[in-house]
Amino acid sequence: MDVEQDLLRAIWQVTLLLALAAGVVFLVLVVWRAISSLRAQKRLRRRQELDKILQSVLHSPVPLGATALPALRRGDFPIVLDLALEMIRMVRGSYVDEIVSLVSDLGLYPYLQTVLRRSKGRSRRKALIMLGYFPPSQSRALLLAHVDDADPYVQLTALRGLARHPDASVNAEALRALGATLHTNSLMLADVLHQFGERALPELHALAAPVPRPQWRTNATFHALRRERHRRKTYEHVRVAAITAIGNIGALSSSAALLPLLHDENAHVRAAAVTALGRIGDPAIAWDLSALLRDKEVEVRIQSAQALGLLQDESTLPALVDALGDTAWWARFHAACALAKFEDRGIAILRAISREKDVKGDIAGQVLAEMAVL
Amino acid sequence: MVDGLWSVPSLVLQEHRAVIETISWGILAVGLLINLISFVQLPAALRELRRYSMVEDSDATWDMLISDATLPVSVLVPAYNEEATIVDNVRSMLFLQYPDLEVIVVNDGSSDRTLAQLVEAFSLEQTLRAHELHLHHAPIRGLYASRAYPGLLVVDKQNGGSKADAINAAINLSRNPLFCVVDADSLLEVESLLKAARPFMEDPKGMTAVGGTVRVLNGCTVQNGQIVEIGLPRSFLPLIQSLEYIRAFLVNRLAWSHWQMLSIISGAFGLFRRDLALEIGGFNKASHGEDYDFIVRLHRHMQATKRPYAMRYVPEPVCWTEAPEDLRTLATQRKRWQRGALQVLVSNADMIGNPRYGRFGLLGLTHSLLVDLIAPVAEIAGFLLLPLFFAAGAIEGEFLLAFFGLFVVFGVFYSVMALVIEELELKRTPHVSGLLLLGLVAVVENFGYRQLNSLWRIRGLWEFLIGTHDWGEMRRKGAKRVRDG
Repeated sequence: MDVEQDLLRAIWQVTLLLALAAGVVFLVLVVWRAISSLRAQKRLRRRQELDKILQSVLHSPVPLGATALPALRRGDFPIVLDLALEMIRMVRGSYVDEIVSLVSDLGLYPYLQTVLRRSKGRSRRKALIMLGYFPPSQSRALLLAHVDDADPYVQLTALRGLARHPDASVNAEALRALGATLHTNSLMLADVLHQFGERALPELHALAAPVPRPQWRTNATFHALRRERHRRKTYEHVRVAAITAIGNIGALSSSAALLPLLHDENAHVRAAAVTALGRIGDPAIAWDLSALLRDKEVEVRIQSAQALGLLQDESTLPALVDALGDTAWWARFHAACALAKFEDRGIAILRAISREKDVKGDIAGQVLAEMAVL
Repeated sequence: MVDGLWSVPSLVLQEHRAVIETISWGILAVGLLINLISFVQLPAALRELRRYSMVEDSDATWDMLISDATLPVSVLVPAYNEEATIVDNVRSMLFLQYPDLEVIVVNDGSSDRTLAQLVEAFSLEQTLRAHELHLHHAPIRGLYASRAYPGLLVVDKQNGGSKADAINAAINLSRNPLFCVVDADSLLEVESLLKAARPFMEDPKGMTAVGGTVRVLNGCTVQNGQIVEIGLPRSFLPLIQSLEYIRAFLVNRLAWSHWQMLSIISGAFGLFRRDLALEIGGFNKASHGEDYDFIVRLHRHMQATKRPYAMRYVPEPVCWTEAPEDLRTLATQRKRWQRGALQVLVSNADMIGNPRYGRFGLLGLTHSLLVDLIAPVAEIAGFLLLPLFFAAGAIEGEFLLAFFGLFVVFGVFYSVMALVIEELELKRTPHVSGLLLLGLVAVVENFGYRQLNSLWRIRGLWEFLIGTHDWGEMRRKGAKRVRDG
């Protein structure tokens, strides 16, 4: 009986506790919401005021010195940062420099330094985006310090900022640091590396090259081996990103550096190299690309067909016709699309094949039908 | 003790006291276990939110929007008799912010003017598209494209008897590595695709599926396919469903996502990898819960092929959908959900509690069994039997009251925590007054609605046992739609 009573008491105590917790949390939530709504309104008003100030200074017919600007309150800096970033997204060229000069005069630089020292995640990223537009003397060291950041978004932001620097030595330093990175987002990285442009090609070629396997050491700890394995895996992502960026830059001089990568052991590297070579458009490598229509990885075969469609070298026509019989539908489809890109000659071949009652005929017929040329 | 209200039944009950006590404790134990699991979900949901929050993260979204590297997406919209809203909704999908997007609308043999409305509004012309017949579906009658909207493809096909059939046809025709399934009566917020695709950008090889939040559209004002004013529903049933959706997505799914045991991504809004969808044979046409079935089969496939994988629920991308306004439609929907859940559990019974399928099989599906099968039975049994036992004097009223109080108060506490998470991440509750209203609903729903829900689930269980396959009519009229001019 005592046990039952104790259990009953315990249930009521828990119920009461939960009811109390629910009530208090809900009350706090409602009050917090009410206060944050008021704060949001206040912030919005201040934002409108600051926006007007920034716009009027930027559009002033006479240059206004730093002394003519209003003194900002502590809470104004995040708003000014947001406004400046929004404006920068919409404009190009010298107007960006004017915005940067204005926010610099308003004292934003020390605020950005503080944010980078004390904040995490999104705030740091915003600060780095803004710093990317500041002169190299002010931003270089801070940006470089974040190239190997554990947060891939912070890392990419720092790289994007460095890509704007005209100094080739800064680029080289940034890209060398990237080689040792343990974290990255390969898809977005390709985009960022592209922004470094042609002047960074030697470093990008170096990043794309295969990394030699480390010597096996008997005294290596399990942790060290795991770390090395992780680093190598990440480095493969960096390689793919670098190759994609090289392709997007599209310099003919990159062909020689990419050619050996067509035989890389990593299928993603091979596929990226094929795509990049297709974009570069060097007709001399058409035959090498056509060999990859027989690669064991379907992704490589698809990329190869697409690249050959871009190159339109007639010596590759027989290989493309063979690829119409590939086991993978997408490889067949891209081979047919590549043939269609050869215009009259390719279309004539597709027409002839479309009469056959096999997979080649089927895909040729489908692609021609889609092009509405049957 | 024979001093109950009914002396004769109580005598009978006294004779079977041991059985009665076992039943009573069994019912209470199920209730306690479910509440305990729900309690553990709260810190997990908060941790997941802290890790992946996208609040004020417009920079990453912007980077994706302007990037060439963003993975292309096909938005698949199965539509059956949607003439009233299809044009506005397709237009809203065409204007989603995404760098590389195609919209494939499948008119699944509608008997109304769905196709005619689309042809008229988007100046559609007949077209052809090369595609592989990888997934089986009912025959396609025609394909339509628009010169004005090159990203739009409309598929007119015979009715395949299920939404899954329409989705499979669209998957066959899609050409992008990712596809997003959206209900034809649902609206996506403009940045929702960018936010949903972000996990795929972060982990392109491992990420297999991403689900976003689904919210109740009733009460919102929609203009030209865009929500111009967010509002809470004015009638009681959709209001309760608003809270249910907040709870289900912002606590439940967030927690399961944190534990890597997500068992469902809503059919109203989910993003998936096309290659994997083909590998598992697409959506199951025979299933009443094709979304649930798809995710469980995806888990099975990834575990069986021993590939590392992840599925994630992200709260930020929001899809707004119309909730049933009347009891009949709501009952139809809930019974169908229940049938779908049971179908999935039965067809994947070998995975339940099986460590071969990782933590998902061992714990995730076991939890689904508890929630989808045992809980409704226990809850209804509790509401029917326990008062009976009490009336006959077989169990103590104090205990009954204490447990009922505990369950009700915990339900309220859980709802309040869901509202906290909603405020931390989404902030889609329009005013403080709305918050107060939802707080009130959290209390009121325990008296009547919750019991009704259990009853519908039991009826769903019965329909499953007798083999009912009816999809049921879904009547919707929730959102206020205004047009320019």
